[in-house]
Amino acid sequence: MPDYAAAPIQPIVEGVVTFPGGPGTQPFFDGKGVSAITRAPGFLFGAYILTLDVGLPGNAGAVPFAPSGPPPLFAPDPDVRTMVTPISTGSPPASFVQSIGVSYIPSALSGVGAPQIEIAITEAVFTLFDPAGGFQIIVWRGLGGGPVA
Amino acid sequence: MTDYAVTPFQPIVQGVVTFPDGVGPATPVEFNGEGISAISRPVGFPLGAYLLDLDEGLPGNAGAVQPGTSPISNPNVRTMVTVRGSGVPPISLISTTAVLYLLSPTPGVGADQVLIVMQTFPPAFADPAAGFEIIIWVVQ
Repeated sequence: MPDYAAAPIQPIVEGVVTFPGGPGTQPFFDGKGVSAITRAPGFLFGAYILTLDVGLPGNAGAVPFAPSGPPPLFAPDPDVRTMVTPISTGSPPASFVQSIGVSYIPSALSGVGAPQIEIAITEAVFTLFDPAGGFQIIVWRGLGGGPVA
Repeated sequence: MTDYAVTPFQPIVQGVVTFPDGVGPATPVEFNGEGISAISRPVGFPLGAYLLDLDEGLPGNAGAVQPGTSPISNPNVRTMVTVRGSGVPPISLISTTAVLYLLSPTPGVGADQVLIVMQTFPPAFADPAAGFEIIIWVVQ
């Protein structure tokens, strides 16, 4: 049986992404665990690539990419969790966010894992956009367990 | 001053749900992580709805979550779901996510199943192609 007491949440990334020049301008990350943030190539709004700090094994830096065995259709990255929460503006603070997607970009180097995280945020109808108030992000590792079907 | 240190975040469930054979009506769904003993699609809902059975657990720590005054207003359980996107960029195409805690018919057991429902827009049940992450924890 899993030892739940031994699986606390220990973030490797925590921070806030904002747009100091307004939506459509250079994104800015303020927090820990990320060394660079850029817009995804070819997308002017709503898609961001965060580069993780070079880190300590098991704590910070690259997240594990996939379990051993044949690669699945979409790599499950079983050991990483991300939470994204828009920060809203206005009263009431509606975010206008319709969907949020996260993806982990593997390194080309074998054994490195995924040193980058890509986030896509859309408004209606699934159009990429920057939330005016920015967004919060937490990334952490979840270890242990196995497949259940 | 509030002692924030006394409210640790201790998950009873953490894992990733994926679709090994791809998404589509009634395709297999798989959970990879801790705290879940079975996952299935509810009968009659071939897309976008998932029934997770909690592990048999330790009182107050793992397993069944306390029901509260109704299945909806359960005060002692929290669930976070993050959808993984596919494509470039990784847009998820999931616009709503909802959770419901299903009570055991056995008195005192609490809710031993969690139902997750996802929809795209316009509203229709939909599987996220790259799966989703889920965390469940209990607060006391």
